[in-house]
Amino acid sequence: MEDIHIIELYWKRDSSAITESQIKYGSYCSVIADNILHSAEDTAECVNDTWLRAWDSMPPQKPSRLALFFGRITRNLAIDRYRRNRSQKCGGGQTALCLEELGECIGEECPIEDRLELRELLNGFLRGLSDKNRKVFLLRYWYMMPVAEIAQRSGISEGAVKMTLKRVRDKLKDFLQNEGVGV
Amino acid sequence: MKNRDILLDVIGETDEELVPELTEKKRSRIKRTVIGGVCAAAVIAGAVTLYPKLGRSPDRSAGSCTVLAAAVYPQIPAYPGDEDDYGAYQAWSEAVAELRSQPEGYTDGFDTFFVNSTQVFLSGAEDGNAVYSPLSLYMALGVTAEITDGSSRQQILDVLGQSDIETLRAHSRSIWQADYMDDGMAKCVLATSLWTNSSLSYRADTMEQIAESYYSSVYSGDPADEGYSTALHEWLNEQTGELLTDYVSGIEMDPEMVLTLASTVDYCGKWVDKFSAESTEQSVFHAAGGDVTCDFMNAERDMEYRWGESFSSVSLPLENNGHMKLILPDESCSPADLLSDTEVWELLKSQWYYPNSKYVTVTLSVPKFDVSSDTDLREGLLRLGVSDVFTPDTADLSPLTDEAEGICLSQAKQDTRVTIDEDGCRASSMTVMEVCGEAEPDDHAEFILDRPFIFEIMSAAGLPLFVGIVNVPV
Repeated sequence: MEDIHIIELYWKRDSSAITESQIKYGSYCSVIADNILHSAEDTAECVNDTWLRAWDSMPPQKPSRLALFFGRITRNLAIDRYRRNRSQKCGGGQTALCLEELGECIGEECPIEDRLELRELLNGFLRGLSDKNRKVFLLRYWYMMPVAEIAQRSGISEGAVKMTLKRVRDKLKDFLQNEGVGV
Repeated sequence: MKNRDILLDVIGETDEELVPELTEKKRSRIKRTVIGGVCAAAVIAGAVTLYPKLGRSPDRSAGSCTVLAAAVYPQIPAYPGDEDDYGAYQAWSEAVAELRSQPEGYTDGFDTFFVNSTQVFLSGAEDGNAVYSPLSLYMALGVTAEITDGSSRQQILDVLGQSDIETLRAHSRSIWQADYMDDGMAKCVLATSLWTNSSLSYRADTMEQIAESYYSSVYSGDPADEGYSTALHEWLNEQTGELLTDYVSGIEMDPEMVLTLASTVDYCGKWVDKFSAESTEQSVFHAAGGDVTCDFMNAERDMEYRWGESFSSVSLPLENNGHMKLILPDESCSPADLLSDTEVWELLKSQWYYPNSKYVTVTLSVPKFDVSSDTDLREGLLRLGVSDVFTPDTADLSPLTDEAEGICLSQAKQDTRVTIDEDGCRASSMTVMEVCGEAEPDDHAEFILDRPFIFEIMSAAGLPLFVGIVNVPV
């Protein structure tokens, strides 16, 4: 089914919207949740919760890119769940590694209070990257994808992926320091 | 919240036009492989044979083997290869999801059966190995409940933790479906068959019910005919991937048998993270009966490490087919001692969550093992409270046949074998250590299985297919 028709079903409050979403985007969202949680059970719950969250959001929203709309909801739900699991000491896939890597980019001396400003800064930073570097960075930190899978998707070696990520992180660190974020 | 957590959140709010979509390719973490057997297991919980109290004269004029009902298994599309499109992956994913999606509560009662029966069937393994398949026995007892009535049936329902036969039927069918996997890459098939005596008449409604609820096939023939025994052997070898040929050849169909029930599990999985054969080294395993030398598969991985008061544990995931838990007792106790440890049972019953766990770098050393056991279930079932069906005077097999008088269950055996190895050494040497990136976790643990340990193979649906004690790896 076309995205526009799935969105229509949500707007008509037709519960088959959830079935159609699961059919078309179930495995897509599962990949995102599983990268973060590394647990089949938690992943399944996150994906189910995604459709409910979408049900609450449409209307009023009419996403222009449905895949990313669902993917973003799944990502947020999975990260929330990861944090709850972490507080109970039950692990979680790539997320701990991604957090540790991002820790290199930002100081903890001064807590961030303005997320909107950080978002604008980050969008600007990402626009300034080459397409290839931006893709690798977002596959890693948006999708929490393992390095090996990024390498396979991008057709480059794992070492090249790691090196790219390292360079972009160093660049982001300098950028955020210059903007006075976290320091 | 730390700044790095906020940064991770804000990355998720990146403008949509900058974020790449994944829809053009399927997930590629799992690579297509051919069924081979890094972790192969099979069980015959069968030769559950019914005999009349007195000898009968079977009708030898019957043919060698007639199929009365043939089980029809669900179709799962072949697991798509790397070059296949996203649609093929989605079709596979939906077929699997449909089978795993079962009504809430379908495993009710199973945990109690699992704990009680495993304690019985793994006890006494002081020096040798013990392997037991709870799921296989569950299905075999389910079919036995269908052919019994009165207190014979009630005792079985009690041990399975089921309130009535309708609930057991529904739960068995759901368990069968949730655990079924046969997609060309992974395999987990619970198979059941009934072998009847062509000189007797059986109640058709019971046979149909068994075929329907337990995905069972029903055959008829003359047990005195060699061809009928051969057919049984062929069925058993086929259903167990020929892993138990030695045991199968020893199963004889008695000419006087009324019914032989064969229940099998054929399981085969590949490690998600394969071991490198180049890292396999010979070392000493401190077996209960003295030191032995065997091959140890070695690796260093970032993974979940779990622990209890008297043990430590890791889980090795299998591609689309559950995982294997390995539980190492502290040096002060044996695997048998752990069977009375409530923390161990909490771990064995859990699919993912266990409170004492931490994600750390683990130095892993696991012996390649090939263990089997041949368990007489009768004594254990008697200890669990299933007794009436074993005695002609108390066994009520009226749902099976109108000629049920004097019939009882005389034999119940389970033959099980589990093997693991590193598999795919050439492929594994490329990828094993680098999947988790360059970050080093703060903590480190060693998990060296150089003394007797417990293992469990849990299905993707979270049910225990096999559990065992390895006292001697080979």
